Amino acid sequence: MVNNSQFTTSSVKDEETKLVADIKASGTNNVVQTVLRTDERVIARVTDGIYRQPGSALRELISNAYDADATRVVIKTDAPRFERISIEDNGHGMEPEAVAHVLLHIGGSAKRNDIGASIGVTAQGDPAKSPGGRKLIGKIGIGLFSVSQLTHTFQIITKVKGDDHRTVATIALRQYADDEATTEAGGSKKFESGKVNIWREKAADTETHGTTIVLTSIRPQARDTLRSREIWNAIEHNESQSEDEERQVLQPPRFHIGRVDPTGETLKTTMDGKTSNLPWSKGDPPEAAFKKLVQSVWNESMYGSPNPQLDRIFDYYLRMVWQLSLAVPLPYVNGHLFDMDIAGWAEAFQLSNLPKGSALQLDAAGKPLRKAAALTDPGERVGDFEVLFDDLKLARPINFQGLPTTGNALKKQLVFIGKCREEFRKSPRELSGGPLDFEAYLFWTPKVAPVEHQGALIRIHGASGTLFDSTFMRYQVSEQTRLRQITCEIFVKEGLDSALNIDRESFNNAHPHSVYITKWLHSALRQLASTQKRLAGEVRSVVRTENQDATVTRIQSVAAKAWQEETDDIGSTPPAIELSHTGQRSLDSADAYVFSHAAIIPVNAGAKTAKTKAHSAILEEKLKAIAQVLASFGLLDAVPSRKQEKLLKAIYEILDASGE
Amino acid sequence: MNNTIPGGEEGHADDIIEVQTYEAPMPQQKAKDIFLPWHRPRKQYVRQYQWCREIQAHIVARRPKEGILKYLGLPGLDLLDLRHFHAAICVQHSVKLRFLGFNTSARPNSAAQTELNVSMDEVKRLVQVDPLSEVIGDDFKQLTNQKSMAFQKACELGPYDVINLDLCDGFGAGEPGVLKPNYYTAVNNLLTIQARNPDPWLLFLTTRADKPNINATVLQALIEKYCANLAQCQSFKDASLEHFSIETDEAVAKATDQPKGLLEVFLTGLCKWFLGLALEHTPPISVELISVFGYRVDKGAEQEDLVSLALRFVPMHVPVQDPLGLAANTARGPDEGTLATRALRKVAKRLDADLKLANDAELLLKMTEDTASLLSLARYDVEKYVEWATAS
Repeated sequence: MVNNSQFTTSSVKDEETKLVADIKASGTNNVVQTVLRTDERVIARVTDGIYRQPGSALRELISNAYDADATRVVIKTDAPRFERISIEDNGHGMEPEAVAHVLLHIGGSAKRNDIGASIGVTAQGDPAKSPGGRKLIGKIGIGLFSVSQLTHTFQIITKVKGDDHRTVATIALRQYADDEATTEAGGSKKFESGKVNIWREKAADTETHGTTIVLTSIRPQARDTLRSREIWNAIEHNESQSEDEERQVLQPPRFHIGRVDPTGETLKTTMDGKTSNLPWSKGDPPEAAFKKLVQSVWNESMYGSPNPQLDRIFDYYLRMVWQLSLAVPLPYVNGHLFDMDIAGWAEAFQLSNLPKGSALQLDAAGKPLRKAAALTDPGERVGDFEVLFDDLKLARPINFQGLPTTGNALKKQLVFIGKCREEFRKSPRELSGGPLDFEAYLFWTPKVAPVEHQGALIRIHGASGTLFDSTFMRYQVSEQTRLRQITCEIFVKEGLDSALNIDRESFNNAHPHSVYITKWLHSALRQLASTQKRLAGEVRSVVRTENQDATVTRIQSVAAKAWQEETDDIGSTPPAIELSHTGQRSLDSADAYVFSHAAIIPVNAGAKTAKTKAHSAILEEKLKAIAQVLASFGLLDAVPSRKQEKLLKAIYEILDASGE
Repeated sequence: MNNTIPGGEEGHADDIIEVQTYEAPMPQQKAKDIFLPWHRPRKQYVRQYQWCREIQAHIVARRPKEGILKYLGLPGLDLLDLRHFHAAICVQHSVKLRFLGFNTSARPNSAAQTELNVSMDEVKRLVQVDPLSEVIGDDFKQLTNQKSMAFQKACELGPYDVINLDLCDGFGAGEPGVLKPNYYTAVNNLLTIQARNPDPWLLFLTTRADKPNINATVLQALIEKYCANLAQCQSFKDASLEHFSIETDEAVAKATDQPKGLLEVFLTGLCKWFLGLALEHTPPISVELISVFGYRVDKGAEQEDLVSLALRFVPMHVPVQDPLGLAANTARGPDEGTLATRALRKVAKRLDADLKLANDAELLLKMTEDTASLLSLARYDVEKYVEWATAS
């Protein structure tokens, strides 16, 4: 039994008393020199939960498993009930010494310091690496306690190879109360973060190793989030409404895991009589199931909304799985871009690291980009790490090849490769944070799906808690449309780690490494834009010559002008707007918006004359142009597709009104 | 001012904190020297000589798809069956074990879950255990409702190669024809999952089979089914006369007044119930009773009161009869009477595990030792076990 006994370290107090005396005795000739210290209370708050999402806790536990050299992590939930979650890995496991250290030094991690090696959690001689040589991705030893976001109590079962016992611990987390800081001030007290019971269990399987964590009492708040309670509450409220009109608007997300009734025993059905709607079939092997999940997003861009957003097509669970797949060191679902031969479907450019440099065409034909540009990512063999999450085997859900075509004149994707090592030779290490070394790609494609992949994602040693930053680190230039056509990943091999904030979900923007990467990225975007504009111009002039005879109505030209001004891309045309009578799309372009004709244009009961027919045709043309102008400013995508139809219907009615 | 909530109503503070006390769970079983009826050597005998033997024969005849043996069961906290199957079958035949277990101890509010979690950690680290294996906290009877989490989970991992319903209570004890969770509907629903299985599969059913554990209405239904066979199937009638001295309805009624007759009619009737359900599927599924093992739980019981049935279900792939007669159809489906007759003969040949072990000291010793080594994997005190097993 471990008790968090209260104790004070007299040495700290003595030092403080001496410092006070020194300050009092100081003067300009007698300056007191000392170092800054941090207070343990700050770190005590970490156990209270510093994360915004339940998924973050799972990400931290997967990171811990990776740092323990696990080759497999299996996460099991009782979705969609979410009363119990287990995470098991086949990593090194923890010796009793490591368990004791973790429990008594939350936040004062043994990773990244010399104690790590002595208790078996880091490599001998390199506290930044795992015993097996992986670069650590856990920042400090708070990973385990990130579960406080999810649960009140949890159980750890851990075993190291050669041990004939398992170590078992059950933990009840304590809530930090407002008055503790004042009543127990002093700064040297150890704060109680929870209660723990620890015992050893005999193990016949001496050779096995690994850690299992079972979250045993999920917080109702976290459970509601995992259950997508917000969406379902709204739908249930809607279902209880009597008006048909209102009821049609709110639908469950396109894909969802379903919901349980209040007893937690039974699944509820949706209006179509189904209990869930998943992109994969029950019984699909986990790898195939995950591929179907990824494909579902691209299918949505072809057959549903041209700009699919995860938070519209997925429930929280599926979105969480997606984000975890992006966050942890895993292989890509259909291969790493660096391993691809781009001949025939993309053009490659090498980015300059100079502030005013230009991207140069890269001869990458007939060989993988890795070879053409001497790229090394991933430094670790990420294929040796797999994560099974319920039915799915996770992989990075980013596709590069076989993407759908659009109306853009540029039919090939553009790949911009970056490679950079900055030593910061002009500044001392204490100020620069040491060298920064990274590789990167910026992938330009007319359409990025899902919308959440528009942006820059920074990985440190393969892991990312920040996901895609759609502002590209606060890029100021008004390139909104072009930015929506870029997926960028920056693979940091050295540095930047210390610029991560404690939750690993944002960067300290003042850190020299953050500042450098921001500048580098903005320069890369500028290089991409000028290259893309040049290529589009070349293609456009060829297209223009070919289409000289084509007539464009004045209405269409207004929309085209608005689009080109907003997108700053002469290679692109406004997305096609189709008012379908059948509900089926006739265009094969992935950027087309397809609406139901019947939902927007009222059926005219009276006999149609040639004059009214012509009038209707002009109104439809105008409506499509207005929709295109709305799309140019990103306003059409601001609402879900059903609302888009309602919006266009209202506009049409105004256009059609007589004005009397 | 403190919020006062009118009686029975929920306030904003409700449902924020899941636990009632600020305490970390303690180990459920402090000492591993308490042994339970199912730790007796005779259970190991059934495990080895019925379950294991049949599974082995099954996978030798037809290797499971993708080398994965799919198993649905009701494992205890110590997961002894799973450990045994892993060692005796999966390792031997290089077959992966993917199991779905039902045990209410896996629910978060169960005091036993720390123990189950440790057992699961041990079993899931076994080399041939598939990572998709799991034990869920739902009651098996929840399969009664096709919209239950339990049924959905069973669907996800199914169909199964082996189903092991190792009940402590009586399969036939519950009231029939009710909507609330019950074994009859649960098994019937499970058969709908199994109907997707194109290959033969096994079902083991362990049930109490004494009068207090059989519902009177259920027994009556089974008796009527037995009598119907007597009337309609000569081979059944002959076998019934030969083995149980039962030829008429009156003889059935008389026999079921006695423990032996009750056991025989109940078991035969139960097999016929399975047969009736399986044959109704399209295409029909044939059912063969492979063996019956029994032993006594109640002290002084005249007859075996706990019985383990091993059944093999074989999809027949027989085309339906064409109502218009356009399709020539010469294939004939399995005949209920013939299958019921075979089942009756197997019931008659049932093996009394108590008797078997009582007459074979060497075998008893072997089963004691084997149980001890199995229990040691689950962290029990082996010396104390041997003491307990030999004393009782």
